Amino acid sequence: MKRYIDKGAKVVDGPRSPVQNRPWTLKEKLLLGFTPKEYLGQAVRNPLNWVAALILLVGLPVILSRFYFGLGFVTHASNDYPWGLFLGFGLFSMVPLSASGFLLGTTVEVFGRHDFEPIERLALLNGLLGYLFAVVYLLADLGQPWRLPYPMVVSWGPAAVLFLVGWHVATYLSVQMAEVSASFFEWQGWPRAKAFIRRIALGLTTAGIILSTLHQGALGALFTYAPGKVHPLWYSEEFQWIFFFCSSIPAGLCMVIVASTIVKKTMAWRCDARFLENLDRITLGLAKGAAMGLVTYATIKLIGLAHDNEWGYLASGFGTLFLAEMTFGVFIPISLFAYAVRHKIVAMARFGALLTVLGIVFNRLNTALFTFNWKLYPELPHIGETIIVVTVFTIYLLVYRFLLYRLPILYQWKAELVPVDEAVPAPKLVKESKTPVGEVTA
Amino acid sequence: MTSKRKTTVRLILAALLMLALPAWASAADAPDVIAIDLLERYYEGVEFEHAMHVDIADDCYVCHHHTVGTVTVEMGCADCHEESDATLPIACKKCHDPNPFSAAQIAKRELEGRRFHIDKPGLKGAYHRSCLGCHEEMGAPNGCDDCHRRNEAGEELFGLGPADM
Amino acid sequence: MGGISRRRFLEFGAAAVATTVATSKRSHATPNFEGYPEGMGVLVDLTKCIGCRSCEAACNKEHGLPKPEKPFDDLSVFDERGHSGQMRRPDETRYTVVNRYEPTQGGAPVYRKIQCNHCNEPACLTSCFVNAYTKTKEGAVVYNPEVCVGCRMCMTACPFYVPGYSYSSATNPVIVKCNFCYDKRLVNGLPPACVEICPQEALLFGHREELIAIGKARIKAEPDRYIDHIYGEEEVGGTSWMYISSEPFEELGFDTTLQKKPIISNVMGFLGMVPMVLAIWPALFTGFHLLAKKKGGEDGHDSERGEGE
Repeated sequence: MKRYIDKGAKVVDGPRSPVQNRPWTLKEKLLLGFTPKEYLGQAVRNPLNWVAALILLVGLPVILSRFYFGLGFVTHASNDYPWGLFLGFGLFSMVPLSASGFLLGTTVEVFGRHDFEPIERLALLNGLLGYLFAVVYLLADLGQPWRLPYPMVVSWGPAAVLFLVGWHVATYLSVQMAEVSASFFEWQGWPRAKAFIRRIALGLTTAGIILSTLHQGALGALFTYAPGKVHPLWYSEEFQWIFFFCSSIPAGLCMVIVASTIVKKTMAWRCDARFLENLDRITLGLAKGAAMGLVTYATIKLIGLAHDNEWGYLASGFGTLFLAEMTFGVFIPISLFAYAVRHKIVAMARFGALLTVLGIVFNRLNTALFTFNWKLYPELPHIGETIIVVTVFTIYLLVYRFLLYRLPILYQWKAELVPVDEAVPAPKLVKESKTPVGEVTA
Repeated sequence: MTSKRKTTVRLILAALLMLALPAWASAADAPDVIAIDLLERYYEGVEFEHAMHVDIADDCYVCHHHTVGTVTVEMGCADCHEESDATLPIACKKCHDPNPFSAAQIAKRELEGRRFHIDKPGLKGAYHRSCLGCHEEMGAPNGCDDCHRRNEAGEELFGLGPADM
Repeated sequence: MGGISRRRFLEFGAAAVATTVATSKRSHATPNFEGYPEGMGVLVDLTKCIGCRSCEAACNKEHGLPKPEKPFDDLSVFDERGHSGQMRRPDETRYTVVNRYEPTQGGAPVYRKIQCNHCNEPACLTSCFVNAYTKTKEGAVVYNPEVCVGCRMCMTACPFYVPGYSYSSATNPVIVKCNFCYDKRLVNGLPPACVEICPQEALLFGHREELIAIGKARIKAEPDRYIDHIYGEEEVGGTSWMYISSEPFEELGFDTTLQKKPIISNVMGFLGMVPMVLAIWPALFTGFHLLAKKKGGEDGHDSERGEGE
């Protein structure tokens, strides 16, 4: 891709082709303005595509076999461990990492922090895709996935926490769909639809906050159904939902940092100046937020330990695992963020964000899988299950990239259709912002 | 089928005998062999050698609790029946119901206010606990097959084809 | 424009409240539920079980389950060990199993039958988001495969590791567990098949309250023989199936660390918070929004992005 752009090729970034001076056709938009041959050429030259193709080549048949032969074919078919990687990673880890949508939505729309606007759409998309693929993982895990709408339409179990999760994830998914659709409508050239979404944006965002608070917490509350099975170090009857909700805040923020870092490294051609020039400042801002989230989380964790008097467990093997999780996923990132924000070292904040993301995933896997049934026996995920998880994640990345390439997420759509009072160049935004971090321009 | 009828006749005879005789019945009044076909659904009948057991048991109360007029060792009975005289019913099944968990039996217990006979085993339980308890203690045969021979339905129930006999 | 937004999200709020009204109602109705008065139960006296596996056989026949490889009179199954030395457990081919335990103090082996304990306030039932489980007034916890989505939350929630899943089926996998012979026997006033066949009457069928009285009487009559505890009388809010034993329960694979209150009580705090969030959050965050707007002096929200800037 870079090669073409270096050669002076023009990627679609507005409704009209500047060269031919006519609106882009849909096909051209989909191919980013390249000829099919050019597009294919760059795709073949990208080694990542070969890796992805290899994964899909192995993984897709395994996914098919899961549906053809049943869950028992790709999992341990364990009655003691009813949940495996599909939910442990796919649901319990993907959902907190997708808190980014509601967090940045709240920051920008509700709190009016427009200095974070350049990354808002990335955060929204990250949220939407995370939830979408959490549902994909769920479909892989459900015994009868075609009955997914049952809790909505066939039979209600409203006293169950999972009922709340189901309804809220479904509702929130539609909310996020609507939020992200703004960029699609721009790309598609439907200004009225976009204007409508803009009008209800505050409503959508508020709905997002409610739904997110509840279902992020609900995922934690699910584990209070299994009090004896989750290891005491990862369990607290009173605080479980707060653990999950609270940790989803740094998780979502750090996931945006990680995603934006990857984007900056691998598809800078797609980002506009507004995004690139503000990214470092925004990253430090997000890191600050994440650090505060982590500190809160760590505090509640400690209160949880003290409340249930679980100090004794720290000396056990599980204790070592717990300390490792807390050290690498919480304490080291907090220190990194603090140092990075103070000395404006963006790379350090990015590394801290990566650690946090891994730490959250580790925490969810520990809760749902590794220390689950701690009185029984440990079980490692089945190879088939692992292949499916990797394959679905690859598809997630491909979809993510597909949308980032096209929709105005990392760049602003050059629209002549909507009346514009004035073009706001990126540096101006930086100047306007009054926060200390805002003054950083890298 | 014939053996079943024979048993029935024999049991009726035994019952009549007991009715005719008042409460001072002695072991000699009981038949030497008692056929039990409680489990006829899955097992062939069992021939219980009463006379032989009379010879080896210390006393009647070992099996018959208080009903033969002796002191009882069964604590559940002793509370009320420690000094009871011999009673008319002597055969196990006179007191121990073959269907202890039927709705009627449960309702009956309910009606009695769960005050007495609250933990009286049913007939099958009484037989097995009485027989097996002793057999284990005495080192007598105590496997299922030692007393019970499965019929066809029993073979099927236990997951064996009838042909495996 | 702000007005429209507010109205909009109030609509969202209303919809969300509607979905959770039932939640709060149900969750507040549970705390004092102590089981149905006419509820039946079974008292398992482990001192009486001789490990003949007749109950397994009767259950298999009653429910038309697949015939096992080894016949039911094959006692070598007691030596079978699964994952990491796990003893046999109920699964998609069997609603109940009997396992043999060698007491650490020596002495005769103890046999323990495992099946669904039919909790008074079942974790499976209260965690199920399609209401597939029912606690009948007779005491049985029954499952409806017609609405089951297969999330297996009930398996995660069950403190006794009872529900099995028919993982082998690709098109219609369902939860498989003991149903107390509810449909064919319990409703007709008959004891479950396992109880009926038990030669020792180690399984005692009756009203739960009667069984507790019997259990207590047995313990009282032979205090040296029995452990002074009826397992299931109070565990996780009480179960319809209960056990008495001569050996410590923890040595027989029972989880003696279970809480006394029902599992549902663990999530009540969270469920109780749900209506609060639904009610307070919209106002709270709109307030924040209005404050943020004021501070900026003008509505920074609208002027900014035609997105076409």
